[in-house]
Amino acid sequence: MIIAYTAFNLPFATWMMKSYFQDLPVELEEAAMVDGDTRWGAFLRVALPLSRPGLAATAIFCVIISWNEFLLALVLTQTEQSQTLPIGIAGRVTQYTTHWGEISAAGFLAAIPIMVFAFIVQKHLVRGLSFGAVKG
Amino acid sequence: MASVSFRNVVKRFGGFTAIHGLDLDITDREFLVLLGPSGCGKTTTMRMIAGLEDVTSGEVYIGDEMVNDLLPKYRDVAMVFQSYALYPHMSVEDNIGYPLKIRKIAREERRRIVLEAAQRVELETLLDRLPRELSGGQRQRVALARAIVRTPKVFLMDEPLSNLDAKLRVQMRAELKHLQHELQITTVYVTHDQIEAMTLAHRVAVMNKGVIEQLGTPKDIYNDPRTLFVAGFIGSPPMNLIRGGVAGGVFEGSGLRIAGLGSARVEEAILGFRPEDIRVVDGVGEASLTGQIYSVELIGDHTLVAVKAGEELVRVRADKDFAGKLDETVGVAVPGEKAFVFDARTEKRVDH
Repeated sequence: MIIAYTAFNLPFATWMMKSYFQDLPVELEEAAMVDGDTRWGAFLRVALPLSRPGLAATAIFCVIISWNEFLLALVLTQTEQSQTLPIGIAGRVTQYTTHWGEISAAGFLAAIPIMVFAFIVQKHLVRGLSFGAVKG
Repeated sequence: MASVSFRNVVKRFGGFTAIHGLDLDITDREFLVLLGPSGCGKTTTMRMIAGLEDVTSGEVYIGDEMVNDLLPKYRDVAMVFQSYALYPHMSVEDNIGYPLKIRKIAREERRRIVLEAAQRVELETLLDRLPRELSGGQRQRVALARAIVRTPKVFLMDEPLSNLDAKLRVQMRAELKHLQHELQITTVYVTHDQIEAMTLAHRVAVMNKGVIEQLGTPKDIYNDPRTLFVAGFIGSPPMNLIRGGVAGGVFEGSGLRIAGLGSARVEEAILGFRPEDIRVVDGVGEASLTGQIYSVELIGDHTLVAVKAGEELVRVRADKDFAGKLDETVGVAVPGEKAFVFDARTEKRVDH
């Protein structure tokens, strides 16, 4: 499942990050290279720290997608132990009755980790981190 | 400290040739200004020295070393970008110290050198700030400090003053000139501002469409322009350029007759003369041309007068208490020895 989700999310993540890196002023990396850095060093020390908001946004996006994913999880999980939450919750709808109470409770609990994660990440989600780098 | 040389350097971007066979020798400790309009290849030339742009053919030397395939980090140059390119997530101190950090200089030593560089540009009280908390002029000085924090072989400056306001620009211009004199490091400076070029340079290379039109001291460039482009580009207000023909040392064209031009004979010529070399006269006897006053602009220490003679508008730099009225008919005296003759087809100077 991990492999499947990676394959699933990688194109999205790459796409999002690419547009983010492209928005960074290219002079910054050039300046780093003239200042004595390698291309890779310029990426690590200049481009990557500046893309923190982009990294955070991409991370939230990927986590939410993986957390809520239903179809692959349904197909790939066989035992009760390996079931993900959405599958488990769907399982409360039985042939004879629907356990609305359990479904509501589980749905609420399922939202908590995502909220916590979002709170942790949100402080990196600041706009204008690169203000002051270049003029105009 | 080192010289920089270009040997028949060509740079192409796809099908577009940005630099056509450039040959240029910049001597050790020289302040060379690359001057030209946007798109003339001056920034590309500088970026080839820095190694940010590959050379299509030809050779670039820094000192005795051929640097065509050398990465920027091994070239030992420092560059001030037009946009400053400060690292926005680092404090002023870390920005200035970045080149030292890459070179693995110990923290205490680094602090000391950074402080020294910061003092040179009067930034020592702002070391903890982030770039976004600084004004334009302060950012510019951080960029400068980052360049002077080590002693590179060559300084490269890409229009470093163009984002400053007029007053600050004049002040920083003087500081740059002083700094270069003090540090004695070969400097290549790119600008489209002819005043910056004239005031800063030991030598100016005037570029147009990927070739150097003329290379010389600011005085040479101003007093002895070799091509029509240089004549028109240098000088503010620009040189008067008038079409006509020259025969037997006399220029004639659009109601204008100027003698004393030497022996040149050109059918399609362009005559150039600077506004400050000519004057408005009352008597018709002295006048090379007559026309109506088209505009009068008081600048302060002088007055700029435009005289409409036939189709041409001739600009004259007159005294500050010039009293002519609009539409008044006046004469303009053009001394032959102050005029330049260009061939209209080759755009080259043809008198001496």
